[in-house]
Amino acid sequence: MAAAIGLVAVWQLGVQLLAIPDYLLPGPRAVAATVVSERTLIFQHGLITLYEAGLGFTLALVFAVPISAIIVWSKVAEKTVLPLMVFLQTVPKVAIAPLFIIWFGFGPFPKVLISFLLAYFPIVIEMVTGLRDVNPTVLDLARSMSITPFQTFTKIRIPNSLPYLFSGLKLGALLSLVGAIVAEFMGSMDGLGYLVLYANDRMDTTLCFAVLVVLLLLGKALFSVVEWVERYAIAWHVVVRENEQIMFTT
Amino acid sequence: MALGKGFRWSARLPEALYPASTIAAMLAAWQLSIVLFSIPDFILPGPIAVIESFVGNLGLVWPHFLVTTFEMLLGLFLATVFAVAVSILMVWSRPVEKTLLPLLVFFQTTPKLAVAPLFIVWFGFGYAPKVIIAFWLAYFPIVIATMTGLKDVEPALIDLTKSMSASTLQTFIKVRLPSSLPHFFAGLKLGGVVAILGAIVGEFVGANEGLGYLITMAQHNSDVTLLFSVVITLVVLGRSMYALIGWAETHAISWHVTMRARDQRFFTA
Repeated sequence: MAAAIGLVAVWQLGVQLLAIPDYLLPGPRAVAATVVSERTLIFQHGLITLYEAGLGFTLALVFAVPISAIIVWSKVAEKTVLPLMVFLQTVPKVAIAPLFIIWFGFGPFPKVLISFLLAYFPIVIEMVTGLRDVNPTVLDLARSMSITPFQTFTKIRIPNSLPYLFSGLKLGALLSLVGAIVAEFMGSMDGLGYLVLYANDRMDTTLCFAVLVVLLLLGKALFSVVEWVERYAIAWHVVVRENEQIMFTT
Repeated sequence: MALGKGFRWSARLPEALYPASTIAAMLAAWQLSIVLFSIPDFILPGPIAVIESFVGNLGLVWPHFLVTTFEMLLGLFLATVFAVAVSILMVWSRPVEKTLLPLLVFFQTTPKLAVAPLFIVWFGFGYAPKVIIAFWLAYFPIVIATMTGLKDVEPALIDLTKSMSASTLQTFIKVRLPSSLPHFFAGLKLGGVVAILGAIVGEFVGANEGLGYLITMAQHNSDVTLLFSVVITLVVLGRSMYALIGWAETHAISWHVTMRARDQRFFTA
């Protein structure tokens, strides 16, 4: 916390002392003032980005959960689909954003698709891991009590997968936002990604910073929402209490 | 799976057949639907047309490939150097860790790619902003992974060195550094992939060369076949980067194969 305050103070002081012009590097005070004065503009564009990312994320969740169940349920599905998904993780997926823009135009739809695509993979792979990594002793116990395979799934595998699912969801939420923004970079007429480029083209660096601050907060907010749901949904899990997960986004 | 006895091609081949046949089936369905519905190339070229144009476009794509690879490698190199130095500093000094770590953790959960246009404003349309974005993305996973590795040492080993009156520096070089390597390589792999991402998104927002630039050009000309050629190139680049780091890893820490199982789950944009 002190580090953050110190950083902001140094930033403000540096900008003032060295008389750095706003178009190069606006100070935190100027940025905060712009966030306030341009709030309606930022809010309008923010809603669109939030809509795109939110819809993409929701679709990813809706598709990912049943598909991961299928992958764990069927050995053939696992062997055919999972290697492809692992392969795609090392590919820069945003590169096909332009294709979606060519196909579907400048509206929100291609952005939703990209958000979906980016959020989908972490959710599926985490969920599959969670459904699979069940303590063998628990499975043995269940079998000794002549449990059906379906019951194994609902009573053991699904509860076991929830912590994994939530860690996938946290990453997915952030990646869906990244996807929406980068797709907006590639071609759009609204959204925060568009606003960043618009501000840049006019050398309005203060507005650019203001939008970036809002984006940063938006990312934090999405992350916290998932974390909040996680805390209520799986309060029994240790990871929630420790909450020292390492995760990386772009 | 133990790599010793179970690793035979006769045993591995059927495993590889499943995804291979999926890809083959997908490609066949793709080509078939192109022919059946007579979809024009400017909407969606078939796999055969894509491969043809990939070969035809090699001369066009090659110089841009070199540019992006250069930006990515330089960014990754700088990120590695800085990340290793900073993580050593953080493990060495408690105040430094307490100051920097919360900031690093904070930035991890932000959409870091969004600042790309800002770097273009500051540093122009040349290499510099792309190298910086690649650096900016690759830095975080490497620094956090390396730091985790440096700290994640078996306490018994530390006790042993202490009982043999090893100096702090000796403990560091002989125990902490080697045991951090598996984590470091996991971070490096992710860093390599996101560095490519950083370079091409940097090129998206302002460039006149590089694969990202070529993608935007293809987009403006609605040249879907060229777009596919570039995407294939990026797949090759991403895969080779990953394989290269994986190769370095197996040679550097061949004593630690078990650690490699854990870095399967990582995700990029």
